[in-house]
Amino acid sequence: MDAFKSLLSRKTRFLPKTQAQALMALSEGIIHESFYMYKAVNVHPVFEEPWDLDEIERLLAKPDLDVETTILLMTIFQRLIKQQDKELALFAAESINAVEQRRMRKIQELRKRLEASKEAKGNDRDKEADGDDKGAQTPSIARELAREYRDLGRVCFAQPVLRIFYIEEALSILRKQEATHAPEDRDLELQVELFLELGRNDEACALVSVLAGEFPENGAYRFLAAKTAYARRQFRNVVDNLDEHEELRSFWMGKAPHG
Amino acid sequence: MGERIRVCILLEGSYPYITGGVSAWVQDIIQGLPQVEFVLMTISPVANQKLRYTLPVNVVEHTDIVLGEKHPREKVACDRKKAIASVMAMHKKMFTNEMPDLGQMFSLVPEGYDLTEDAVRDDRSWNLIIAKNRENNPVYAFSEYLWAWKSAHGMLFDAIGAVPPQADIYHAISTGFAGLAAVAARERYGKPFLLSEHGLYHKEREIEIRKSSYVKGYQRDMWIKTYNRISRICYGKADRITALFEENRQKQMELGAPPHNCQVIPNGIDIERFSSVKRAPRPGYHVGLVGRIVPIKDIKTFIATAKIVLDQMPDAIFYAIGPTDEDPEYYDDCVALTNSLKISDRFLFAGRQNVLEYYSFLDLMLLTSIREAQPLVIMEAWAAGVPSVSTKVGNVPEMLDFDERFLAPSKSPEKLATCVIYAHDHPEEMALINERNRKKAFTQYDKKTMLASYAKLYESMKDIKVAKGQL
Repeated sequence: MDAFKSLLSRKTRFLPKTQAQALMALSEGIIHESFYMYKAVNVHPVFEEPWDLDEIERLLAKPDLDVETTILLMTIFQRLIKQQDKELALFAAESINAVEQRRMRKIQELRKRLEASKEAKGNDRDKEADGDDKGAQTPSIARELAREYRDLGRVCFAQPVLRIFYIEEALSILRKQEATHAPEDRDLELQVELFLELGRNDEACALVSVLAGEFPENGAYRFLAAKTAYARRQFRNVVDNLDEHEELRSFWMGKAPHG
Repeated sequence: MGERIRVCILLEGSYPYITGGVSAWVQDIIQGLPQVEFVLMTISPVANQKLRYTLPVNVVEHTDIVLGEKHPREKVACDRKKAIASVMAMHKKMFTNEMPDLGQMFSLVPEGYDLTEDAVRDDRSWNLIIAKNRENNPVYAFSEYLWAWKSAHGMLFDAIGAVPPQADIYHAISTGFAGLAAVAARERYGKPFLLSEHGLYHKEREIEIRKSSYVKGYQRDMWIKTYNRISRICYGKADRITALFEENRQKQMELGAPPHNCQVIPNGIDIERFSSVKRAPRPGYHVGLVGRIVPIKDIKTFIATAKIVLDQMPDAIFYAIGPTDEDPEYYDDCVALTNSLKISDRFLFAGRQNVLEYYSFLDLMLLTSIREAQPLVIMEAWAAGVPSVSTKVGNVPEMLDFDERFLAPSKSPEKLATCVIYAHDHPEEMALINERNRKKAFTQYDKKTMLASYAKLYESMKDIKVAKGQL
């Protein structure tokens, strides 16, 4: 308790709001170790009620929010949006919109870059220019764009119409790209994932068979093949493809990992 | 000044540069009260924006203040030491939620004077900035705090130092910077201040700040507190306050608006115009959304609802009636969504249209907005004989008698689709509801009543004597 008292009687009455801030404050000598320990261990899971709106807002305000955390936040917002409290519901609706808009802006930027890259490629071809080939970036931009659409689709999991739309957009970008550039393995891998997201399991299976057949030693493809088999409820094939993933195989077969 | 009342309308981020509900309302007020002379004072983020409205003839003057623009401070004399002392005193009171002595402050800070640089140069205010940084932000770079402070306070000082046109009444259409400029005018010129809010400015800004990724945590708190305190000052200083509906009036009072100064004046529409629509139903089921094609109207949810409804009612047709040029990329995305869902033959983007033509055959008005105050389009549809289904936003639940059959949470196309299908499947009941809504539009939402209320309010306020700030 003494540490708390001294904290409050200091010149600065700064109270760290997050664990990261507490760590910084500790290293700067602003707070005592015991306050840091208190802050570090008293973590209220963001997903649990009563909602910690400050923490939710703090997460939401992060510019580089990863997909998994975004999905977690969207799950919370989907619950908040149905609350009787109109301000909470409004906050949730606005937040969902903000997340979608943030991702859409990124998509729009990538779309513009893709167009510019395609144009540059056309110009390079016309002029038979050598050296700096801006058009060469086209496949990687298209891939990034497809991934962004896939992520947006995953983020919009609660709105099936939009989810499917965004994932189909991702697929269509890859398909268009195929017309001009031979797909790389990672493009095909992404396609398999998209087919699975859309429930087009047979198409996923056909594609993954090609990949796993061509590269039987590639663990990532075999894992994809296992996922595809799982989606198709062909459980024997799941096990067959998990050789490279001992932990998963053990989990699947009911044996604890590492013996 | 002659017999005619001269009202200065103070606006931020709306009329006459941005279209929308608030702007349409301002245009209605000005056009509907030709006996009043209006002067506009707008607060803008950039200079020389394009006018989106033709200013009515009774608008005799327009001053545009650009926030953050450099001001010719040398030309205005000011006792800087005393001015800073009064600003500091105000600051201290704001943090204890007491009403600061604005009169004294405004008498010391002359209009047209920009305090921002002085505030940084003066030892006392510099020490206050440092102390506040220590309290709020000791683990991050001081420069970040200073720039955030400068940005927030620079805009405040712009609003405080702005020179409003002379008028009998200062009518701000929000709290925030427009409200603060109205408070400054009230204190300097001794003229009454009327505050009319559609939404609640500080709540709207708070939501914007909270979801923003470019305002850092501690800066977020600073901005939110600043907007909250500005609203508190405006509520405390306004001589009369109007809200569109009771719920908002209550919220204004929660933040310090004296109950005897507050009243509700609902929105109103041109009843004759909309009720003159000759209904001419067409085959099929026609569902319309009247609004701009922008994310806040959540057109994607409208499209998703259309898809769900069309799967069950293939003869339905959907119309998004409103300008598409405000956010062209969002519009393009919406078009792509209708194409992808293969409903583009049943979903039409009508663009900016004479809505009366659409009200003649629409069977249902659908509103999917994320945020609204008291939407005019619902009233218009009612007067024209079109029922409505909507998301639960602003005053809409009360307007729709809290009837869950016609209300859905935001972003819920499934529930909205259920509402649409219910309306389609119960034509006789809808006819009765229609009749009831039509009566409601006539009795509660007539523009003439709204204009008469404001005319009366202006008349009653013009002689209010306000004590000017004293040295």
